[in-house]
Amino acid sequence: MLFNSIQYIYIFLPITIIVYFLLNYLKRYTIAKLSLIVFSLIFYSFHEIRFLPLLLGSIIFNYNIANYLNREKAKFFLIFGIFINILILCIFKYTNFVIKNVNLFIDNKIDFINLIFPIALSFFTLQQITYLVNCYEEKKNISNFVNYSFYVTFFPQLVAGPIILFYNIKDQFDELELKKIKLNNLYVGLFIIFIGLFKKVIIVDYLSTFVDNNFYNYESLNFYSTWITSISFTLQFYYDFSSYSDIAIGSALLLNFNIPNNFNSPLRSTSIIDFWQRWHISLSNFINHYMYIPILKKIRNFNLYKNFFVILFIMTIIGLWHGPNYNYIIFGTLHGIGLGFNHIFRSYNIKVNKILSWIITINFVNVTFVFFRSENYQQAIHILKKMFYFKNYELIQFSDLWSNLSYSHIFIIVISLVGITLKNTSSLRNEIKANYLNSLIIVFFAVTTLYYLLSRFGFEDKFIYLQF
Amino acid sequence: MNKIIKIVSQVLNVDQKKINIESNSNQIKNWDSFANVKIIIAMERELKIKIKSKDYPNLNSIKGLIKIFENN
Repeated sequence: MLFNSIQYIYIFLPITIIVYFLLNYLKRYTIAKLSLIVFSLIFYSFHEIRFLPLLLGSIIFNYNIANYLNREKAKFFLIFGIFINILILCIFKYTNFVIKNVNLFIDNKIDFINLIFPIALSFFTLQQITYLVNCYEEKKNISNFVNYSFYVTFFPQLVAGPIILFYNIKDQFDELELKKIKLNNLYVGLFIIFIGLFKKVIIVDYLSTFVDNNFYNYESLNFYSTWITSISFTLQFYYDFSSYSDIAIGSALLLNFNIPNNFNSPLRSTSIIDFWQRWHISLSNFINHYMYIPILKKIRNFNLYKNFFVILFIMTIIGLWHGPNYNYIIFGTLHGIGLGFNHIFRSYNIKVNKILSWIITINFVNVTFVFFRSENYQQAIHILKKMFYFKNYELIQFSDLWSNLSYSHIFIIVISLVGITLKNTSSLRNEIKANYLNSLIIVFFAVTTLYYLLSRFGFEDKFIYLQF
Repeated sequence: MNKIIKIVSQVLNVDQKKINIESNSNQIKNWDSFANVKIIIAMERELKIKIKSKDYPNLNSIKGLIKIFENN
């Protein structure tokens, strides 16, 4: 069941909210919490019921490991727990990638294994690792089993984040005030959900057809069309992922749960460091808090140059985390290099004009996203060659650009400006007030998206991040 | 509070007078993740505290750093 489906928006979500608040109204607080866990498992089962035992097994395993973190050998159990989590992730995600690479060097080829990647595994693995670390630091299991299961399975964030930390949500489990329906949360939640849905079904679906078609026929593209295609993908990726996060945050808010923002207008970034503080913020926080700081703290006399290699290492791993493809590794490595140099430039106080910084940053991101989107690195290199080694006659075509301005070009310019200039969901979340204009906006978004969903019933476009 | 401001000013190489209780990473240049690691190490050494991962979201402001110190 996708977020952008009628089943989710108009059936699953209302039923979940009604049952949850009804049980709370009857003061059956624990049963209400359990009902949300059950609804979350139903939500997961609609994606992949065969992996439900894996999700449940993972929760039971990690909770039990957390119980051992108050003992003398806590460090051993922590390492063991993290190792098993990563091992399971690697088995499902990288087995065939390893076989493919080993086969390059041996004569007796190994057969590929028929493995399907369990949806959400990458996300609940990271989230549970953070929990184990938190318990290790506190020298005790910091939650009861019901709250822990709720934390891992909570459906708005289960499948593709935002990656939440236990401390983000722990005070919200038993707060009596949050057990009552809050009209303001319902209003803001609906507003954010329908903005997200509008982004997905109107903007992203339009862009994805164009991008998919051009990446499929990449050999026929020229200098100008490769640039338009790559920019379109950057916009598609941003709107797709941020719309997913909007619907997740809005859905949680309808149930009176506040989960962290995942985006803060990344198209406004004026440096690579700035970009990672605005793009997929929950992943950046995970990297920062559970990889970067612990590694750097272990290094004696660390300096900017050691910092460079630590970032390079981490970002390469994060690239690989996205999937078993060299393109993701290249994407991560390039961002590692970008971040490392950004830290060095900062330390030397090298000042660059803000608009120039923005142009460099957005173009860097745009180029790295070509690797992210391409099927393989050969395709990415082919497209990048066209983007940077143009021929003279293409320059002439480029000069005709304005005379050939089409509807799709105007669309791309408009949504770029919207992403750069308009208020983002994270600020709207704190500012939205119930009034006539906002109600009209909700109704407009609800009606247009409903019309679109009905016209494509059963053929909803998947979110990009679901594959990770 | 003065000790924390002193640590931050030394790590970021900024005049102490330019830092106050309202200062945060958005206002002070170079207060980024790399600087935060230096702040953690300096605070742990000089204030004899152990900073945990749950404290990390508070690393980006003087108020947050004071909160970390008070919770330890």
